[in-house]
Amino acid sequence: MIKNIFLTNTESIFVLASFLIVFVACFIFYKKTLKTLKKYENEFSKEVSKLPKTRRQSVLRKSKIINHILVSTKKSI
Amino acid sequence: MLTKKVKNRIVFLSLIILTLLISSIFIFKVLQKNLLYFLTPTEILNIQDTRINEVYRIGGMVKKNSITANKDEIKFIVTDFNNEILVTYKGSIPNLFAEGKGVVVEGKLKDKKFIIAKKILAKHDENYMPPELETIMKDAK
Amino acid sequence: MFHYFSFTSVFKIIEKLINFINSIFFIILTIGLTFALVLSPPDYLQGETVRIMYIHVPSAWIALGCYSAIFFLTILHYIFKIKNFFIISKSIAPIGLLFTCLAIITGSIWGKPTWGTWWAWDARLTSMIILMCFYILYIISIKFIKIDSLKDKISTFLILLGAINIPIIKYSVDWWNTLHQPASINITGTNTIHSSMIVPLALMLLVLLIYCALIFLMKYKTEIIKIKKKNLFNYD
Repeated sequence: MIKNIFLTNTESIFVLASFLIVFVACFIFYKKTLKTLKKYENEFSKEVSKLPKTRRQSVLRKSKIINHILVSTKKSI
Repeated sequence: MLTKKVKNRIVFLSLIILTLLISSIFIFKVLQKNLLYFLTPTEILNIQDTRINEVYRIGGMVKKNSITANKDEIKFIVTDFNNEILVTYKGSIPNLFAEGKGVVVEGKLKDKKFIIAKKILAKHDENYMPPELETIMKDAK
Repeated sequence: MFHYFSFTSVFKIIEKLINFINSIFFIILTIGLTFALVLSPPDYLQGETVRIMYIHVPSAWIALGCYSAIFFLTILHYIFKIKNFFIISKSIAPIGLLFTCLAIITGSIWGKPTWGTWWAWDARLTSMIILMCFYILYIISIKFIKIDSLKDKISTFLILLGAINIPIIKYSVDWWNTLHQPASINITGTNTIHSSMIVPLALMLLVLLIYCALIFLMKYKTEIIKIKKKNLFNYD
């Protein structure tokens, strides 16, 4: 059956076209989502580092989630 | 457990949903006829004011052994197993067009039993199976 | 009662899930594609074209599923005013829109060799277009309306209005004469699709569902970070 796919009869062109469209669209959508995620992570870590030192320490102590976000940002940078 | 605010919101929400439901039912009652993509031969027969030379879409099965093709014209009968309509057509035919399969034809109605088609669409049914299985099923019959 | 949904505990799980999906996604994708393109048999009538169904049908299911999920979340958000539900439905909506478009496009590519036309205004196809419009309206309304209370009201109303469309899409092929064929897979009753074709269909559904989960988690994470950034100056 793999032969039928790569033979360029009209039917397999339709099949390949639809699969390609789906994968390209999904890939672009994935890249776009990843880009916005990275953008916000970076902005977030910048904001935190901008805070005055004493305040930053108290924020980090009080909110666990901010620690998590920062850790994940560093990993992905 | 539910506060009064929450209860109010539930009542309000269900009222909205109810009105939307009722109004949509009325809208679909009105639109009923326009929502049909095609008419069956029986429905064509039952319409009081069929206008000759108007464009209609008619759907049904291609009657077995009814296809006759000469040079560039093809004739066949569309049936819904109660009534039939004769179709003539010039032009390209979709791959899946065959006797005993579903079809939708679009064209000018000449009278209640005869239509000159401008376009033929093959209507696929909901059965999917590999080719080997189909021959087995045919042999069993 | 809903404190289990607190962002801190959820955030850790999201991280783990994203890593997990990234590690298994390509394995499942390869298996799914092998079944869909190579191992499964052609159809007795359509031939190879039947393979388009393996992405068309799961896309359509996901499109409907996303809308139903948004519908229930919106109702819960409206009644109990839990912000988290709104954030979840906001993250689901673009996925639903993507798969509605993909279902329409792949269906159109399937229609050309099978029916002999790219497009027909029958009830099923038209109601899918309407679903796409509702997704677009919903996304626009939550993106561009700045006043929070107004945004809530308009987006809730849009989702309620569009929900009427969902049973219409599902049953349009049974209620009216349509060019689109009736459903082949029924939860109750018999399937009119051969088992050798159900396997690739299920696998491709799994692939697309995992993809959806990945996108959803990334979008949800973005939303959490946005909120935390806003609140950064309110800690004391």
